[in-house]
Amino acid sequence: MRNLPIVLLVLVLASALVAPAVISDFNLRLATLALHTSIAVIGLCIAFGWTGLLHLGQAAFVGIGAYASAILTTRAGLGFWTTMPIALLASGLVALCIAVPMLRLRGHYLALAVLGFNVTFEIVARNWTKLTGGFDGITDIPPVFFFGWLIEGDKGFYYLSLFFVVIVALFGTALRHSRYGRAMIAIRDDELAAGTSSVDVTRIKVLAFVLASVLAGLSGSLYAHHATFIAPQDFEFGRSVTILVMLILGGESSVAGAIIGSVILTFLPELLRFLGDYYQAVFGVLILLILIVMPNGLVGQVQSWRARWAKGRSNG
Amino acid sequence: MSAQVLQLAINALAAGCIYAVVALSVEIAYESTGVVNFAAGQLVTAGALIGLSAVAYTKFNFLPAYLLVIVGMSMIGIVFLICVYLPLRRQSVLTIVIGTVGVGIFIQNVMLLTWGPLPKSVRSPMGSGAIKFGDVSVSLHVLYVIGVTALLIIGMYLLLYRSSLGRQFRATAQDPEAATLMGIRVKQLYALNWILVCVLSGIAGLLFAPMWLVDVTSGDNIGLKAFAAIMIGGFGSVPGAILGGIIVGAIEIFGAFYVSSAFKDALVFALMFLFLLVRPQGIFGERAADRA
Amino acid sequence: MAESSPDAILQVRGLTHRFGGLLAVSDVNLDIVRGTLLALIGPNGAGKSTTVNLLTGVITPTSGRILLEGQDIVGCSSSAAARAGMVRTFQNGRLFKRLTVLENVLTGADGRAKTSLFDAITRNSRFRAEEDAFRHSAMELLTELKLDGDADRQVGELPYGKQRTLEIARALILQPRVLLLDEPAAGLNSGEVEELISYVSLLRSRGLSILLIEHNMGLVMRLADRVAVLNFGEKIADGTPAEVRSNERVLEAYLGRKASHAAG
Repeated sequence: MRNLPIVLLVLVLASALVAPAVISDFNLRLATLALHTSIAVIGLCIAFGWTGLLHLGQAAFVGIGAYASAILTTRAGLGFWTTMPIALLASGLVALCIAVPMLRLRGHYLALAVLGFNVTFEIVARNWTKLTGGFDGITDIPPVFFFGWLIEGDKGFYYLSLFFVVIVALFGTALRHSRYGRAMIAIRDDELAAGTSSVDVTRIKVLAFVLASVLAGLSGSLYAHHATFIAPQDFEFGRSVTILVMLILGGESSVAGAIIGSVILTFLPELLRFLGDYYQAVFGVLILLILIVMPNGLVGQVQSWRARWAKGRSNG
Repeated sequence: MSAQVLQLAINALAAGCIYAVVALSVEIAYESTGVVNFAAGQLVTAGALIGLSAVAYTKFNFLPAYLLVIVGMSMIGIVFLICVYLPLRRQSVLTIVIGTVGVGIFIQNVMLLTWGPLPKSVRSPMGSGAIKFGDVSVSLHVLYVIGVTALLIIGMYLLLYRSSLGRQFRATAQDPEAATLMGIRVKQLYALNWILVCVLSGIAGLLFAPMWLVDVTSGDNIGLKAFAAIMIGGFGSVPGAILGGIIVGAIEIFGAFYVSSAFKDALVFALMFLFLLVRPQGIFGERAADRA
Repeated sequence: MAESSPDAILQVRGLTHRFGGLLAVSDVNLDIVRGTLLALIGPNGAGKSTTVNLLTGVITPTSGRILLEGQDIVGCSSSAAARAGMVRTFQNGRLFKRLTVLENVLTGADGRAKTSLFDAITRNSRFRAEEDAFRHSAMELLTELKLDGDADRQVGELPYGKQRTLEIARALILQPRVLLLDEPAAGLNSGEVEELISYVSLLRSRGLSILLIEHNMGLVMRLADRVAVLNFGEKIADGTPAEVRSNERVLEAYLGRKASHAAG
């Protein structure tokens, strides 16, 4: 029983590795999308799940990464491995600039400010036509080369995304089990007590926000090169809500939950295809149901069942 | 003042009035429950679209049609209370806020299924007439918007600050348990609160609809600007919400004319960010850093 | 006011906090001699909690100086004050619910950490050495406080008395210069209070300077080297427990109402 998580992890990784051989092209495309989206969701796990920053603008930071990558590859002819780090840096820097004034504020102020930022990003992306292509977006974003080997088609991109998801998940897990992760969770649990326990609250909040945005930038850069086409509506406020719901569905303070949530929510529209136009309305109800029925998400639910099971066993 | 500036100023005031009414609705929900209602924009659209159908149903008898809208919005308020607020009340405010986002998505898509995606034009009870003051022409609807808003503000002031009901509201907001012990019927007050919130947003929908075309997303933008208005005017302040609304209306109308119509909304948010930087408590509001 | 002896680890001068139009704390002077325990007492609403908040940087005083080892810490954030050595516990136990018992204690070590984010992510030898050292001292504290068996439990599973003890452990790992205990006995049963008394005496005998805010007069009289009394935000007496016990202003303002309590 103690080794169960490790066994599960190995199983999941193994099936992730063989999946492309088994599933259809269409599902492979969705799986790839789910993978690079989950990087942004892990970012949100750091900012919201651990640190408690109600961040309703993650899509804007995905957008910054995507546009940075897209513009630099299509205009300056740079390759993915050059633009991707620049995309991370761009997202991180923008986040740093707005983090310092915003993070003095709490709760709903931050939520509204970041929402305002997301909407402003949309307006700029739609109207600064010279740079962003306006409503039409940017097309023909080149594919990725890996040591001269063209990563073409969904299979290659799937493995590229999987590689980054594993790196990011390791990063998240290491962060969680370091003093930084502890400090973040302490801040969400009790900001005042975190401060008097010597946690530099503002610094850690800024760090969490910037890390969340850097990961969003990575997610966006991958998205741009995978889709080869981006437009402003890919990064609107509604997308931020979806990213947040992915996190809450999976379990808001768990890296594994972030990945699970993004996989489920990426495939859900397909699974519920029979709902047709009703899907979005059902999605709204789904949000409420998750909040009411399992506020700690799937991972939290499983943990509480396990705890109950262990308790029952030790008592019996 | 030139006629043109005057013309713009009147339009700005009318737009500002609509933002002010929505901001007032968000402010009331916030003051009595601590929840920022992210579904405000969708409630505005709901008011406009229910109004459209009600007016058609009553064959342009505006009074009964508008009464129908108020009944409809009240029902939405009660459903909101039962399905969202009461089940989530014991959880953190963040959770309830995310819940309101879910409600917004739900309402919007039910409207999309009911009314379809096409924009619709809506008639004003004042018709399409206008009064001329020299070179300035003011439509009757704009005067009506300003008048109704003024009445609503006075009504809300009397209700919240001059009646025993208002005192009960504030007592409950501060400490629901103590309020229960004092014999205040907390659940009924919550019901009244959400009805008020929904009806106010709905009225904002009735007011804005004849000025612009209505589709299922028109309220979104109005809701966002109402949030900006509250940040500018100051969270926790009713006068702030109203003044903030009017400031946002002015920036939008003058900004579109003198700066750029594509970036008029960006100007609104730029001012909001400026306030967050320099004066996070807004013009009249609570100290932003103090309240969780 | 006369400057106090060089032996004072904490000197508070003219501490004042205005709250709206109200003076919550007014011109308070306090001295803690190194290695001793000063008890701060006073009726409800006397300004004790505000004083603790002012001393630990949770709120900034309107005026006054707080000299810790001669260094003024007024204007420091709460985390800077904690790093400077002014460490507190809370009246109503504020632990981190989603962290384990051990992690709660480790959070208190954050101010002493030297490793960077890069070290933490790569889990290099620097990081592991620091983490091991912190874990070691945290476990030592937990063992001393008989919480070692609960190290990996969630805080919520602990009984109340243990939660209060855990807060002391979280404060001690910071290696405070002055430890502020805000009503540590509140809600404890008499057995737990006895354990608390002997542990606090042990800490003092090791040379720790302590400010104790307490309602329980029995506890105060048994532990305090000196007692300061607040009433309506002003200090009305300061002396040995015996002196304070017989001070007329104190009897009138505070002990008068609780004379039976104090005598017992």
